[in-house]
Amino acid sequence: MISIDKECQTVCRLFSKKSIRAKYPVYVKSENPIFKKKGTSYDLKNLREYQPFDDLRQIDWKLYGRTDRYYIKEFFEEENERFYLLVDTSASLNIFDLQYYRTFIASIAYILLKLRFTINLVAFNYRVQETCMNVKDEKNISRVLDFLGRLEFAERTDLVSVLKSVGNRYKPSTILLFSDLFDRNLSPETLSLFRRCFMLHFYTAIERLNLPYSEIEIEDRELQKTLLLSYNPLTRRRMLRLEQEFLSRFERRTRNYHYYRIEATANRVPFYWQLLESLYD
Amino acid sequence: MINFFSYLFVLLIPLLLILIVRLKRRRRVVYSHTFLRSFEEERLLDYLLRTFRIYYDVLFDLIIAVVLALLLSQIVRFAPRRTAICLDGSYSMIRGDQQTALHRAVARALEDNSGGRSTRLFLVAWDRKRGKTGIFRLKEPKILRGTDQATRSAIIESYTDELRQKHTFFNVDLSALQEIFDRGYRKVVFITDRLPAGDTNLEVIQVGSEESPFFYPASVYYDFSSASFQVLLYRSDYRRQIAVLRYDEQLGNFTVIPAAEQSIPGSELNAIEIREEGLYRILGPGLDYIYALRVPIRVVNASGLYSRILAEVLPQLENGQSRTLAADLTYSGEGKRQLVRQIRSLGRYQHKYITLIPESYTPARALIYPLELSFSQPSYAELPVKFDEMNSLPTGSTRLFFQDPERTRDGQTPLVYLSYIELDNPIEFSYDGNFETRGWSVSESRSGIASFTYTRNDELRPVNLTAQEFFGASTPIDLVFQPRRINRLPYFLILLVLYLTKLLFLLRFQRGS
Repeated sequence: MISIDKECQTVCRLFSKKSIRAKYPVYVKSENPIFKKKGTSYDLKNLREYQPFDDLRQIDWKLYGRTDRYYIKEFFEEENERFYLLVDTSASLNIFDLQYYRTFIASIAYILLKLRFTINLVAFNYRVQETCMNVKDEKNISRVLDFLGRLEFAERTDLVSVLKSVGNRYKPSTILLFSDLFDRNLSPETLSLFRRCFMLHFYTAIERLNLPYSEIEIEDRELQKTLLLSYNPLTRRRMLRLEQEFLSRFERRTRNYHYYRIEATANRVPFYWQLLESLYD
Repeated sequence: MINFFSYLFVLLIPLLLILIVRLKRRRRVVYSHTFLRSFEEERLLDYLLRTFRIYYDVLFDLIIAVVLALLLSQIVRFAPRRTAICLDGSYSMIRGDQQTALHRAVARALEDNSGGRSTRLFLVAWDRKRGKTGIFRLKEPKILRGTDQATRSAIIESYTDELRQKHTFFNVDLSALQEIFDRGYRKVVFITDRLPAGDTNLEVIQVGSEESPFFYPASVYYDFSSASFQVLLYRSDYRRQIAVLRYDEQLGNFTVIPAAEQSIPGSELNAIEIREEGLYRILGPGLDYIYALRVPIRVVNASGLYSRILAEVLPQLENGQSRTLAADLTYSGEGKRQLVRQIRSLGRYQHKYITLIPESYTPARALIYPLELSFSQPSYAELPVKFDEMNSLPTGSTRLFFQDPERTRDGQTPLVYLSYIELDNPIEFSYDGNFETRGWSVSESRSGIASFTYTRNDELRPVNLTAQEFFGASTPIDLVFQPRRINRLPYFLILLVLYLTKLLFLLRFQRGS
């Protein structure tokens, strides 16, 4: 049973009060106006004569008064920004608390919907597995929950391939990547495909495993391999060093790149707030 | 080898149990190898190092088990693989006028030893100081390569002469060779003139051939039980009979008397039994010997309890007024002063047969020195019961032993020749307040020291009247020696090093760097 954090509503309400920007939709700006959709914004797209199929309400009566002819004013479509939530479903996620993982994603999705964003969910492991596109309005949160409920965590991760595939297919400007980032080929440079990237790194630290100083078998379900180690202070030190090297690859923040490391025991609400802060930055 | 594997199997059982327990206790976690991939993509050396870190203790335990199994099964003895060349120092080796067996043995030993440095030269001979057979390390003469044969022979000759002068060639107890094995030599080459009769694990080299037909008077003794003289002859030529002649004072000449020659089974000795005292001439093949046979009852001036008992018990002794002193040896107090006075009272008389009987520190065993019987060698009087009970024993029940005939190989050595050898080196008895070593010394610290002057009589007489057991039939002795017992020290050192190394690895891996 996937739930949504009850604090989400509060977060949305407080954030709306805090920032006026949250009250208004984010407009899509395109370099080429040809491809902009017709809509109901205040941004004038076209002025043309009335056609029989046009809505009478769209007739510019002021212009009719001056010209005695019926003209229609067309405006660009007003649209919220579409967020792509890329959900990692590889087998390595089993390390993490999946309930926590699902709740986190569902809560983020709810907040975004509550703030009138359109979200597209893409589940992937080594390729795109499943999508849930054009989810608008918080009333449709059940679609998100169903989507998350159907996820099966298996197979290996190929983040680079998936990001390229998503980038080519959907051309998203902003992505929220939910993953454990256990892909050796992944680098922050790979994420430069997107205008904005929010990387939510679900990570279980080695120290959290509470390994005793003895023989340990580390099973990687993605690789279907087992590594036998004598876990002693020397090995521990080496593993921590490798872990630090691994984490330091992603731990940086720029205007377009936001990294959050989330551990299973962490309180989720501050992350929501931080995410929204970054989103409207 | 079977023992080794058996021990190894037993020792590996706990190791196996430890492995099983470790396997049971092994923690299995699910985690990604993404940044642990360096553990997998390591080189062979790193892989081996990682495997070593896991199983180093098992590896060390395995090695320790192997070492322990080797220790218990005694497969590896850590004994030097050197070879000992041992020369026979028995009397027969120097018997003969021309090239002796010792000369040939030395030549052979130096020939064998010329090849490598892993051989050591020894001599098994009579140790005068210790009063028993000993092993002497010999320093090989330097014979340079290219030395001509004449020079080589001269060196060997002089070396042989030096050996004869420095060492006493006498009856040797070959059981002393065990000392060489105990020193760690695994192979002992024994160069002798006579092959051992029994089994042996020595590598025996026989030098020289059998002697030409010989005829030696070996010994004469008076058998108190049969009241007759036993003349022992050592001969190899049986084609000619031996004639026994007795000196008839009335006729002033020797007359042939019937005397049967009987061979002693198990030896090369023949015995001729003569019942009466007198002067006898024994005609052998090419040689004849004259004996003045007298019943060897010596009157001694017994002083002290043990001396009196012995004088009563031993048939060849009588207590009476004599210049031969049999005294209890005392080391202190009035007894010592009395002994000194008694010895001084003997004066400088030429024939001082002194039997010193030490204080009894082993109740059932007394040490005496019947010097005229043993050529100054220590001999043991084995008294079967305590001295207090000696009076009840019948006369003749006490036996005198020179050496253990069971262990004496060269039992047939004609001691009469030794007598003459000793004549060349007379040793005088001296006394200057303390007993001083001037002749033979005895290993027993409390046995005292005695020296003895042996002077040839004008008349021929049996000079080495010996116990019958000395030339008794000896059974073949197996000269099988035990190799050196396992040297455990290297094992303990290896185990110590292994444990310390394991401990170091443990500290290294537990503490990290």
